[in-house]
Amino acid sequence: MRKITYENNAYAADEGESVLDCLQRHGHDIPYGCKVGACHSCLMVASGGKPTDASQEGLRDTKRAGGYFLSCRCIPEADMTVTLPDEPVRTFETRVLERTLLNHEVIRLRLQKPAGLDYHAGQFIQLHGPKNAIRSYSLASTANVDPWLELHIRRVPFGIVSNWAHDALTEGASVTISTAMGECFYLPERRDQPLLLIGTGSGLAPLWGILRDALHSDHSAPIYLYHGGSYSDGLYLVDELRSLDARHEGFHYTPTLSRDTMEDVARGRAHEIAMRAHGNLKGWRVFLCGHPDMVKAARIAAFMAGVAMDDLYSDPFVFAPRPSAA
Amino acid sequence: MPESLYQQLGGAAAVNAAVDIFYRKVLADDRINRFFQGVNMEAQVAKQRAFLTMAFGGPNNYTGADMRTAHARLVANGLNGSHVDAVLENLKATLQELKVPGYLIPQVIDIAESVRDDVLGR
Repeated sequence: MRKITYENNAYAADEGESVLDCLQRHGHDIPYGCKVGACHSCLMVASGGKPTDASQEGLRDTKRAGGYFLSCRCIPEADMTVTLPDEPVRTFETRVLERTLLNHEVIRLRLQKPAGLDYHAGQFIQLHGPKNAIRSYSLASTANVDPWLELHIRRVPFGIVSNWAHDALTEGASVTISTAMGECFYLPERRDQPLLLIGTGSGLAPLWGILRDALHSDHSAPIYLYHGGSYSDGLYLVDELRSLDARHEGFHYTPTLSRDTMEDVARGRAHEIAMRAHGNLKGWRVFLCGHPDMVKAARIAAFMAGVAMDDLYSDPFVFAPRPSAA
Repeated sequence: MPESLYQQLGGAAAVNAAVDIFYRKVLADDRINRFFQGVNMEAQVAKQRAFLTMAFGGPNNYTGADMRTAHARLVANGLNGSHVDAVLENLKATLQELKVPGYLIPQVIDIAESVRDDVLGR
């Protein structure tokens, strides 16, 4: 008999009983629809114990890696601790190790990695700023390579947290951050799948992490990165990326500018240049990060070019509403 | 007990295989894609998944009232029978592309056809 722990209570599942049925039998209101694994309404997360293979069928790889499973399809084979997908976020106290200007509007912030904070490059954390403002920033560091956490923070006009980070967060400052979240990250499965990474502005942050994660994992298929800015001062890490391009046969870096011309930089929008260059993308894995309009347009374009919906990973950078001038 | 249509088609695995192909055909179809513009793709795919599960004879919680409510705004924006025809055409083409046996295809179309009046608010 297997034990299912939910909201700090342990329940014994009957022989052949699913996690969903067991929790419902004990009076828990778990959302569900079809009960045959088709509608995905009963999605839950296992924080302890491995979900059965059958209960993860049809889920994308990042969900499987995160312990997500369909509770209607899971006849537990081990004791499990489960939650609904929107579990409360935990926080950590840590401190700033280094702050470096990457271009005129983006800083690189390196933070001490708190013990117990596990992440994949490309996920995001929340940074607690002044006035109870909390903003999400992508992780540009790579867990297997870097001892620190790295964020790229663009100064947003009137942005409460970004301006504070740019002006006040010096070496040694204490900060509060959350656990890592999000599903825009690389998994070292299907290494023969070509990767297409497209980012605008500080959308390079998650892609920088994902790229180094893939290279570190010896990804065998080609990797293409397109990083777009508006004007020449909007690009960053150009020398580092060109040097990676030169050192790794499979990696190809293309900087793009939509409103400016520059030597050795493509002119136009990053995703449009990428789509024109590659045509059919059937079988590719695609990562899109940055301006919400770019992410939205590129998602549709990539899907129509043949990318499977489950191979499309994206992280639109949504901005907090501008505070009213009081 | 004879296998249900849903089992004959391959159950959840068949829905997984069909959802991308079907949605891509719908988005590429100029007769109907305007009804799908500006909608979150993930949410849209979840809806296509539910629709395909229903059309494949699988378990579902669709009610006529849900279908009416969900499509009322689209009907007000000109959704009519010709658009339902186009969706059914794309559904048929999806099944053919997946090499679903010919005798099963009309059964799927019949189920999808059964919600036409609710979708159109008639």
